[in-house]
Amino acid sequence: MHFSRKKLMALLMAGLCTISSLGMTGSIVKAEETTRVVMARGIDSTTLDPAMASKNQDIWMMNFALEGLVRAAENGKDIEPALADTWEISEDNLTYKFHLREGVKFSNGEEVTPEDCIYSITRTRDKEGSPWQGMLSVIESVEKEGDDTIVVKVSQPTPALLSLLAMFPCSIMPQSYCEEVGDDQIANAPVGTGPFILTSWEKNSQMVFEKNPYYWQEGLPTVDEFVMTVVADENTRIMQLQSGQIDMTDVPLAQLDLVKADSNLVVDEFPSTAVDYIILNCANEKLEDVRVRQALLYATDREALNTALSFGYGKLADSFISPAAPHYNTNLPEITYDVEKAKELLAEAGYADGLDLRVDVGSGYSSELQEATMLKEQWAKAGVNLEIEQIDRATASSNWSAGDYEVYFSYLTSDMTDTSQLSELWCVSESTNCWGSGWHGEKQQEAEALVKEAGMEMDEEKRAELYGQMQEIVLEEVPNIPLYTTPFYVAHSKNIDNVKQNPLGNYRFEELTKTN
Amino acid sequence: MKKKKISISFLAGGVVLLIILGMAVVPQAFTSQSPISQDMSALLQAPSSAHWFGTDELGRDIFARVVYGTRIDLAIGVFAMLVSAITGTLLGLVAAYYGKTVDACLMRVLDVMTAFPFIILVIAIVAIMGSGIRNMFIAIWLVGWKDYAKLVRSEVLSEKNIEYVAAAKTLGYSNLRIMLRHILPNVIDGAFVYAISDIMMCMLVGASLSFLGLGVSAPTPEWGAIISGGRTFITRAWWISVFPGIVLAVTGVAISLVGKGTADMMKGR
Amino acid sequence: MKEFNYIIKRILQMIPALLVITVIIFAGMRLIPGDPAITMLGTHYSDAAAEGLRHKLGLDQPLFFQYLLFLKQVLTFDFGNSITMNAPVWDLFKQKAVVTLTLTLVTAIFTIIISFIFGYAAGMSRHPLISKTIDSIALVMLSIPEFWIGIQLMLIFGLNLKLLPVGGWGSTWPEHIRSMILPAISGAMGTSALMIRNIEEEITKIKKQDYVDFAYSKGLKKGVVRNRYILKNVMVSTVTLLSMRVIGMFAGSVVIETVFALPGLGSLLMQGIMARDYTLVQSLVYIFAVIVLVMNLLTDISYSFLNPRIRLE
Repeated sequence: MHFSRKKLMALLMAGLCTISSLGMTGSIVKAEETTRVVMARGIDSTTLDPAMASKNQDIWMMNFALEGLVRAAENGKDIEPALADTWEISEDNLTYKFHLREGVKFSNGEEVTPEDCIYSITRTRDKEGSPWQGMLSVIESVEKEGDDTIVVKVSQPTPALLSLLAMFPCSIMPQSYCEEVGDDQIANAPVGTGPFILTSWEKNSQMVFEKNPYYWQEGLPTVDEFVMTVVADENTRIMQLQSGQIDMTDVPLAQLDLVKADSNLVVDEFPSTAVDYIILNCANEKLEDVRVRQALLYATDREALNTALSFGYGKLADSFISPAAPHYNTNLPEITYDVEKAKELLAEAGYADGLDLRVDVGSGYSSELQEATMLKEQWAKAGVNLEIEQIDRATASSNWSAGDYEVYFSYLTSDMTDTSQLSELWCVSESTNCWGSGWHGEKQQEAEALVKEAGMEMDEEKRAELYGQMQEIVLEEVPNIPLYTTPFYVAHSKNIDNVKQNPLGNYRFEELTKTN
Repeated sequence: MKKKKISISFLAGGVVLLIILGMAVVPQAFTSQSPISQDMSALLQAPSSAHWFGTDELGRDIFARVVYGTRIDLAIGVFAMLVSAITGTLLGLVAAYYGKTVDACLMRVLDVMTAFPFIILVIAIVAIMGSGIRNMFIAIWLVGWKDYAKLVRSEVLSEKNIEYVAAAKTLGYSNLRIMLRHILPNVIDGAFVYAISDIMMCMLVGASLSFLGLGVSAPTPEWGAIISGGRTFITRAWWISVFPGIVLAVTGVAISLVGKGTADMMKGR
Repeated sequence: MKEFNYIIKRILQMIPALLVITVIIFAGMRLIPGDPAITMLGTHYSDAAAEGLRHKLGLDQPLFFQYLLFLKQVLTFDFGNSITMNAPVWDLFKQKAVVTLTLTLVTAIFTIIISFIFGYAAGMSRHPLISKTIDSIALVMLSIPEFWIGIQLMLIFGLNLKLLPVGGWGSTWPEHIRSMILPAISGAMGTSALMIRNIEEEITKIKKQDYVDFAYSKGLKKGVVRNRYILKNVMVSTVTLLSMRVIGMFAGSVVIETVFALPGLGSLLMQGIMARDYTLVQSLVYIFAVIVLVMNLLTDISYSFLNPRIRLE
């Protein structure tokens, strides 16, 4: 052995240095590469099962891990390719052929096959208790043709079919995984072809998404890890953003002025399909008379409600369909605030001496309480005494769905790039009883017929006309008093960029960037 | 020397309490503004000479709301305390006096009662019956009586064998008379002291319920509801929640001072 | 042996109490209007979907059958899945209990530190000014709603000074502990105030009693007297108060958890009630009940260790 101890030591040291420096550079490179973005919101999702999700907090998270054959474009109106890169529609509009993009893999590494697509779409269509069964029932069959083509047949011409397939209930999941793990696990850890993988979900606390290495869009997503935390109190959420503890959050309207005034933060605004309105129970004996409902429309100072409730950020709405949605009727007659007219109509309807009404407000929802408080004062001028009842939210919504209410506050966001969903909810009596309003009679049947016709009409211009007429009827009949539509707001620190949310509310964060 | 000190804090507490009682009885004497009228041109205004405590998100005057809210808050504190105190004291008295099965029953009921977390019980009650003052009373009552029952029971147990009770028994007095006329006056002091601090606790519970959205129905002015209503705006309109908070604290201190003074005087007797 | 019999007796007494509790919880949950299927479907409710969901969740079974199922869950300690959260109740409980338990412990530590320092100072001081000041502070502490003080602390220490996190729970243990400081202080306020007064009163009471004078006259040093006699006696009432509060905190810290965005048991339970998640609420409340009853027993037993003059019977 010629090695002296000294030499050995030197060699050892050198070796150690190299190893440690390797390690060092390794960790430095890693630190540079790993970008982690944390976002906070007020409420956790309950399920990510595409067949079962029904609340905005579930739906908006859907396209992190999942994707369909096609998807909604950023403007919320158009359809763009996703898993299928091209498609053809038959002459009679009853058969759709989708060609699968080549070589797309699920986040677990398995290749996407036509069988997976057939399984996923029929799973939702046939799922007991799924809120989407009704909408998907128009799909007669899903079959495969060759190794890369899927044939979807519908029972009647369906102009909304592409929108339907772009919606999350038609997300494509691997059949083998789904059958192996069962429904509960699908709800907790869905696997799909989306840009992210849900790696952990601590209920009521946080969801962690990691980059999907198999994502078909080269170079995306740009962040390695995305964390969605739950912070129920909105003050806490904003303070966390201001202190740099989180990178981004949705902003409640009440906090918007404050966040906008903070020079360290950026607020992005996105048009939305959400419209806030007051539902009037048309099946109630007091509100059955259309004159009473019209009187309440005239007695409502919507301008004041908009100023106070949306802090001036909302736009007055005159239809339950938002201007950011397709087929919004731009020529609706203007709604005026006219207390005298309201009194007149009430007198005609036999309520010259006043009318007592009750509004159910979810306890703990301060903005609803504020809305009710203002409405009470406004309607009092027309001789309507509005009693405010604060009840537990779940009780309130079950009363509403049972038709056991008089006045109720609600809003809807469209889940698809088509008008058919909201129109059917509001005008078709059999499915949801005209969105719980119990609206009925000749005019309602007329609106229902229009909506059904538009649901089968392939000519876009004709459809717009039909939906336009329907909106006029709804405004005349007042099953709801439309109030305002407010954009979605996301606040983030300055080093975050490319935040995207479409008018349906879906977050699109695959291009999100964070600079240090 | 000592006597004088007691009377000073007692006096201070008393004066403050009188003012607060005044606000509860004749609120219109303290402010000319209405607690519920909205003013859309004066939203979220900072305290000024026109609005001493500022205005809220509907342009309502906070000072007026605080003044008019006094009656409700005092009522919540005092009545919620009274019903629980009376129920609890009587049950504790009866259980301890008769002992054996009766006592064992009470203890089991207490076991079951304590096994339910307070806030959960309240949330459940409110969910069943709806929110509002009445149901808040019921919730506080259902949960509050057990402390009095425990307190009185243990006091009675230590009194029961004392000579005067035995004497009363040999004189042939009825159980009811012995309990109410002989034992009760001797065990009531502890419950009284507890009751004073309980008023404040009841008021705080009311405020916390409003915070969770389970309290008084709008637009009734109530301190807890005002505080929780201002929570949304706390970073830019601090006055909405700070002033009612201070008034609540001052009331609590005043009640405690008066209570302590009274208790000391009772001891001195 | 006597202690042993006592403990056995108490445990046996728990059984009927727990049985009554299961009935109350079960009936209570069903008495609340509303229905889990409706809250789960939310804005996409339809009769057909709700019916399908009820069938899937087993809510269309006869009530008695559902109760028996609950009893079986209780006896086997296998609580099944939460209806609305798609996770085993027991897992959810464990996950959230870590948070709440940490909060409770840190709060209890703060409470003990604050109340002993001030209560002791107030009780032992000869200057009326000191005790008066402490008394007043305690009174104010007692009268401030904890959510209010919580928000103020967060504004000052979290946002302005950036010393501590603004709510949240973090992901490592040092972060967990750091994030507990402000919530624990807010939660400790009210209890500390009560305990300060309690300790102060006990000390003044004991100071007047003969055996302390006797100890002095025996020539023991002041410090020895304090430690040996006073603290020992103060402990009994303090343990009662603290244990009552700790039990309350364990399940009832909804308010603090909401303000500080802590994913704990209180908010889990509140959410369960709001969503009418029958299995979750039933099982959680039952677990609480067991914990409370055991805690009560432990408290009673600990009396006899702290003060042998109190006998177990």
